[in-house]
Amino acid sequence: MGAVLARKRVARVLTGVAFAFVLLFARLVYIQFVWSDTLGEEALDMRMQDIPIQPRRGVIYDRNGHELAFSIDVESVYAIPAQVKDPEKTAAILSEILGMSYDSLMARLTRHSSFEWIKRKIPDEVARRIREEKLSGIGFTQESMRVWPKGSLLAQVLGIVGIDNDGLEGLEYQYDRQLKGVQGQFTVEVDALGEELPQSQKGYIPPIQGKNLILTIDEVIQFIVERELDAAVERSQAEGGLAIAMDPQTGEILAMAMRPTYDPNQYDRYPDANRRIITITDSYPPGSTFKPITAAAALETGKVTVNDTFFCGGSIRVGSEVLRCHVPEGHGMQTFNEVMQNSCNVGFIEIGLRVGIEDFYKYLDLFGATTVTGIDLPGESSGIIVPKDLCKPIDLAVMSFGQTLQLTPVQLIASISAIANGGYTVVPHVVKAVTDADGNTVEVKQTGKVHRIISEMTAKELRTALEEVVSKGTGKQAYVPGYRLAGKTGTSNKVVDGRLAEGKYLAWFIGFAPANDPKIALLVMIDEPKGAYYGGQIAAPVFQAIMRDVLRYLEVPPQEEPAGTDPAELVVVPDLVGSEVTSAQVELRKVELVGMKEGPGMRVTRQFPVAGAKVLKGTTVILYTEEDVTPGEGEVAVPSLIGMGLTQARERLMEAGLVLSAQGSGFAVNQDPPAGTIVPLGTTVKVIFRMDVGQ
Amino acid sequence: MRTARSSRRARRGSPDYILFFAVMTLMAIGITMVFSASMVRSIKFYGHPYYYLITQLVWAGLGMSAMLFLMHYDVWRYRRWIPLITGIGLVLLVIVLIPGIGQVRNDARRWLGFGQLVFQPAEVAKVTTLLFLADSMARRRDKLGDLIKGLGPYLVFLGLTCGLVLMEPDLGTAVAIAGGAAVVIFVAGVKWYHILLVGAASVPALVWAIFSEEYRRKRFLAFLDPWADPEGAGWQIIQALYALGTGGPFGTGIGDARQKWFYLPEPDTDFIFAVLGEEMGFFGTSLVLALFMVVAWRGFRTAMAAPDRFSCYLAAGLTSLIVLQAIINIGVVTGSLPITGIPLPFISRGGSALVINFIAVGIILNISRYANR
Repeated sequence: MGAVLARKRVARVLTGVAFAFVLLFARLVYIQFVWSDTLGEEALDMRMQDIPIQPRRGVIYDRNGHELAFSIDVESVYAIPAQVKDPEKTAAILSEILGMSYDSLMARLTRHSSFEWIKRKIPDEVARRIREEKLSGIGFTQESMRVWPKGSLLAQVLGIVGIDNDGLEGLEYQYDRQLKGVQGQFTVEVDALGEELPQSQKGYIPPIQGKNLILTIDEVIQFIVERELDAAVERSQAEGGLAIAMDPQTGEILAMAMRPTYDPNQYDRYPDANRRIITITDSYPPGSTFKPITAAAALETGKVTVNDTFFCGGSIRVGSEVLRCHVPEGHGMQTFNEVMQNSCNVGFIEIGLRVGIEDFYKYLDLFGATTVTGIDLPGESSGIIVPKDLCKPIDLAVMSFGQTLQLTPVQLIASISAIANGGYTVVPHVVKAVTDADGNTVEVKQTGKVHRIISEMTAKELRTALEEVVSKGTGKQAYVPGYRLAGKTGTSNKVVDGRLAEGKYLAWFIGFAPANDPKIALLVMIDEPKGAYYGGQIAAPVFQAIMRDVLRYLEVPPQEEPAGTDPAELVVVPDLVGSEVTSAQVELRKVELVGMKEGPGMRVTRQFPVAGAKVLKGTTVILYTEEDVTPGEGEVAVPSLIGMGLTQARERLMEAGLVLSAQGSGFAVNQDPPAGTIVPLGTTVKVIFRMDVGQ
Repeated sequence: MRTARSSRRARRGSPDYILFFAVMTLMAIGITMVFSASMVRSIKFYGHPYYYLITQLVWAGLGMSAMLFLMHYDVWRYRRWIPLITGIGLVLLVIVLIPGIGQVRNDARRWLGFGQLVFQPAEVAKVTTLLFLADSMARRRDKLGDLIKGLGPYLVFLGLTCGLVLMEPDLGTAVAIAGGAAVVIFVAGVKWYHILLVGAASVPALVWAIFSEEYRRKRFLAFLDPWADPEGAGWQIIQALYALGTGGPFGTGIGDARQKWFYLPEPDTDFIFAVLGEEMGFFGTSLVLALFMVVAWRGFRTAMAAPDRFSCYLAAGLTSLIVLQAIINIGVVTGSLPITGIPLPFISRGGSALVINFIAVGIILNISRYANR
């Protein structure tokens, strides 16, 4: 009886066990048939370790192929914590070599992870020292580091990249997609300790190297602009300043500089604000530099002609307000061109009122004052202008001479370019072309005139008026002997937080050259100069200094008389090359010119302006002299290379039959043997180049 | 007594060869898998792949000798020594807890012995406990109807045994002992509602046991959703599922498992079934499952045909001991049960556990020779 019960219960246990086996069987069917593929893939995915292969970030070149930013390979150290045999010792050694804290290293070496960065982008020497320690679980990988070889040159425009080679600002950001390339990867199947498995699965996807940018910027012009800007900011103890040089025919930016600045190689040492591209992000009251736009609207609509006359008695009543000119006694009766030369506010108020609100706003739109220019840099803003439906006659009157409205510097230079190029809008741009890693051009950016906004006639009349500003008017200090320049001064009250800042001024000069065939448009603004603050006093000399060197660099031939100058005031520069310095001085004095000797020799070897140029009386002619020794047969005098770029220096030496041994980059600062030394043909001249922006 | 013995002698037949061959097949698969699964670690720690294979072969030889001996040496001949054997088992459980005597591995004090020759008293207790219960309950059958006087002492004894094992700690073995004991108590004819009562009373204890210990709580919760913490508590289950899934229907081939390369924890012991599933696929896992089903069938069949209550209870308990361990181990590896730390009998690498399992089978085989036909 009891044995029967026991048997029954054993049978029940067996049934229960069998049921459990059926469940487990079903579970195994599910895992190994239904779920198998997913689990298998996930498992393989887990075992596959991706080793990313970073593409090389593209190079940024200036228009002549000079490198402005490139990437070099540097080493980064990492740890695979599971493979670190002795974390304490490893941390102690790394702490010693890298100068990092022992605790933070210990934390990384003992973390439950398969990969930890120790330190990225370290010098080769440091990497070598760590490698010699032969530490287990510590590895190295090549990473690329961005280098800006010219330091702060063009810094804001070039921008910066982050530790992971992401472009963060400037062109590095704007063209990040092209510059960066596409990451490749090497994949390998590893065990849980990170070692490659026997017969492991492997995969390789090659990286696509980054594309290169060829800019419209000319390194030499950029250098000249920055040098002169630095000098001006220093001279006038200004808060800062900016300058833009552009080809008015195409919209190609040749140089763009702003102060204060920074060095992208160590950008964390400078205030963040120094990195802003204020030439495109910030708007400023343009002051009188806006007047050419008012004038263009007036001439183009026919509401004013160049033959009209304007009377300035020192003030004018607009509605209930009385607006004053900057000359209290007034400019008297003036022609249209004289209004421009005198920068007469009363005259421009009359011109503006004649244009009327409707047409004034139409031309603001046409000149691009109400929209962004479309420049290929990040963060562009458009100006601040009283909305048309709120505009009253008093607003129109004040805007006519450039107050209350605000424009970005790039808007301003784009609008002046329309006058320079015969009436067309242009889109300012800094990238000329994109090339691939092999140097093949993959994209050429659009450039050139876009559409006509004023007639050829109006443009010509304005060019003449602006040329007279330099030859006779407020812009005299911008005059470059031998060249025809056109331009406009400007002085405006600084606007801080939407309010006029008393006693703080912006000194402007905007113009182009040569006036009859503009090759370059240039805008200069000095922010808060101490002491003198008029554009004609502060900005015009900067314009003059830049134009002088740039025109020479661009090999623009000197021209005859500037338009509007009194022919009696002009003299022809005599040919002085080959003559003694003393006799050259006498020669110059005869024609009321001043000679200035430069160089150690006694005989003139070059001169500037060159012979035949027509210049104003009193102009300084620079007489270059070299060591006064005559080279013998098979010998040659070493030319002076100081201030030249690498290419220029090489060409110069080649002409002379000498060989260049260059050191560094930038502009020649030192040479051995010195200029004037007589050496045998084929001698090597050592030249040290340095990118010392400023002094 | 003498006559009973001689009459049994006369009826002695051949052992259950089906059970015998099922166990030997499991052992053969086990040796193969132990070699494959331990190779990686053996090379890492000992420089050659055979270290764990050799120790496993030594223990298997020992275990098989014990099985063959017990198959011939009738269980009734040492029945009167059972209280003494049980006592020794309990004493060993106490001794192993003494620091300095019991050896510690992986934070658990479970081992006694010297050098290579170590064993777990908890493994010994598995068999001694079932021997005691089967013997005592068969003799005190008429008193089992009383909850306090009948069942009470056994519950106290079980509580003591399992408590000592838990102190090592060794949850897996405690569970195995309790499971085998429960089957003996059930088969011995304890009233249904008494079983339910004890069962209901032990639920709070079980909950407490799980949630009082941080790592057990994590393991339990990880079993419910391993992907909630794939790098931590869920890691083991996920790696096991990866291995089984990678194996699919036919496996990657013996020796070619990927997951045993330090992804699977304990690939040669608690998680050997995952390596087997990866290398031999569903073919291998279902074969092992079928072999354990054969063990269950022949073991319980032996219990049902046993000549007396003592041997019936004992065969049922010992069969359950093996089969329950298999069910729990495979349940854990397939993510169907929370992790308990129970090895797979005859397959997992292990010393005293393997010998004890062979001893259990040896006793069952001995009983099978006296089956009522």
